[in-house]
Amino acid sequence: MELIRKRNSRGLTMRSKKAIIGLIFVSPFIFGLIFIYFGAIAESIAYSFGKFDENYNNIIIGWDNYRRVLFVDPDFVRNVVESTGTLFVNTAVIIIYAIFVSVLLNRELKGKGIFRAILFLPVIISAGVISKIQTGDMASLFSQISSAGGDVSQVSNGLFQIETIKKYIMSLNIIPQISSIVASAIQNIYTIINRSGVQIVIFLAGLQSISPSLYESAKVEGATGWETLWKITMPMLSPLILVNVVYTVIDSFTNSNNPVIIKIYHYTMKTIDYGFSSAMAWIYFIVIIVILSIVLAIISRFVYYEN
Amino acid sequence: MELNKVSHKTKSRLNYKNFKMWGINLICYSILLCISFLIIYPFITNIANSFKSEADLLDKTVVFIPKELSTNTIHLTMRAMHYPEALRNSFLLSLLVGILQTLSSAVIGYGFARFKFPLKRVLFGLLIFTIIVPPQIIMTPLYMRFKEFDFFNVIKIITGYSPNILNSFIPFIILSLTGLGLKNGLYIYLIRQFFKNMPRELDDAAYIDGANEFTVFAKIMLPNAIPILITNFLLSFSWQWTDNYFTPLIIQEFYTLPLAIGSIANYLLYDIDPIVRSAMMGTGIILVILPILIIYIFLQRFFVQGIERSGIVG
Repeated sequence: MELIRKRNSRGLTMRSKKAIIGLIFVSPFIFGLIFIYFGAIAESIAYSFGKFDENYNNIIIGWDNYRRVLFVDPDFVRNVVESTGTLFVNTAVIIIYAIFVSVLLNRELKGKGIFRAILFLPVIISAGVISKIQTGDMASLFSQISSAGGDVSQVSNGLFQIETIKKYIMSLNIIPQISSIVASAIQNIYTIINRSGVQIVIFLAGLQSISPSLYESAKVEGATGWETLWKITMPMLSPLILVNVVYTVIDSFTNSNNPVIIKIYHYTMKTIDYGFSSAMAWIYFIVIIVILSIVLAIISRFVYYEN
Repeated sequence: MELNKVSHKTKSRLNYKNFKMWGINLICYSILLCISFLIIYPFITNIANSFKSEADLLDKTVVFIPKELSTNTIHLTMRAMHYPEALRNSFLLSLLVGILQTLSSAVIGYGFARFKFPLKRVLFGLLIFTIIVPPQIIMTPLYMRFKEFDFFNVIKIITGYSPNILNSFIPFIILSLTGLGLKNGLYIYLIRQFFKNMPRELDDAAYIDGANEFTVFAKIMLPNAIPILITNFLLSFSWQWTDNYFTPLIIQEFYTLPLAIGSIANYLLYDIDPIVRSAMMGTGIILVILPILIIYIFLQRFFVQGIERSGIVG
């Protein structure tokens, strides 16, 4: 204690000196928050309560924009509900797929370097414009950029003929509910593979950090592989499952293929209705926060922390 | 006799075990092969299509290997995209953003990982906030800000007007340096996790030898963090490269690759056969992806390493 309180040449305690240096390291971020981020957030809130006049001055009009989003606009509420529904299904599938693949990649296999390189590929290329085209969503790209209507949606870029497979499965005449679930899963294969790159990366890092002695002692005690998976791997991965669920939820909510995001973008860039689009974005943000906290509350009950 | 029996027994058990291992490996390989195939397939078809002539594209019997090799589609696409110009601009921009974001994330992440300072929890909360807020919320205000750029009217007082910094790289530099760029919060978070898991003894030893915090950071922490920094660079480089959301907002007067893909769409409006159109789109994607693919092939070793050593826990 004496040692820590010993004053150095500048007359600061060790602790406050450390604090200042810490602040210096973080200062770019603080600077950005103060000079850019806070102002932008405040302006966006102001837009959402206002309307532009002819000279692009924002005039505060109260809750009108919010009322318009929630009660007048025909699509917004439906879009949010729909994207929340697909979110739950997709998140579950993505997490399970990512755990599965990362466990596979963590095994001692010959040539696993090549497989890793290929499976991480979507992390690099799935963002932005490419995912939009890869998932066959060319129609929206076309209309977004060139506002060309017509038959462009039928020009597929030669991925799997997903529609054909879907039709085939639908025609198999099994139980219609099941075949429709299978068909939609097939339709989503590319979405899932493209969106799960970062999650695989995080799980793999987590798997690498589990100490091998745990597995060894389990083996000595006679545990089977299946038991080891559920009693060691899953509990040790559970904090990362939480991280990944949060990441997946945020990613699919703010992803530029999300219908709500497309709508917000449209009102910002095309109709230049800033008040309306800001109100929409803020309502959407609140929805995200609510869903995130529900998900967090549920999952964090199952998370096991080593320390 | 007894001994012999036992050894025979273990031998058969070993055989059974080998056989089981072999079977499990076979299943693993086949699953991995399937997934890899799914990932690579679009590349194969698009590359194959870009070398086909118009007749081959229309011919249903030609699947992958074209009957006559033609680079016509590639030439047409390159012309529509203004490819050399777009490539140069995209490369410069992504390189700049990648380097700056990696550096700023390293500095900020280190600060969050290794120091205690007042308001740390609040600041970290704000960092998470910047990750969660959809970028669309601050898009318009940012645009306005960069149109008449200023810090509390300081520039206006000095020069007499607020400069318009749209259509330049300056907004990207500012956003990247302050950790507010595209997905930047995520990078800071990842690097923070890495530095948190570095052993304390490492810097304690250096402090005893009389090093200060900045030398410890520059001489000990950064060299150890090279794999994760490369991972980070790769991520920010390629996410900037393919971004078609933020970049077109700020840069409208010269071509970058995502904008160039859009210009294919415009180019295609003039009577071109739909199948050739779709082949051109595919070629366009390949032309956009190819440079980052090459960089990835060179850096992927570090990428995998960086992930293994990042030791992200919760």
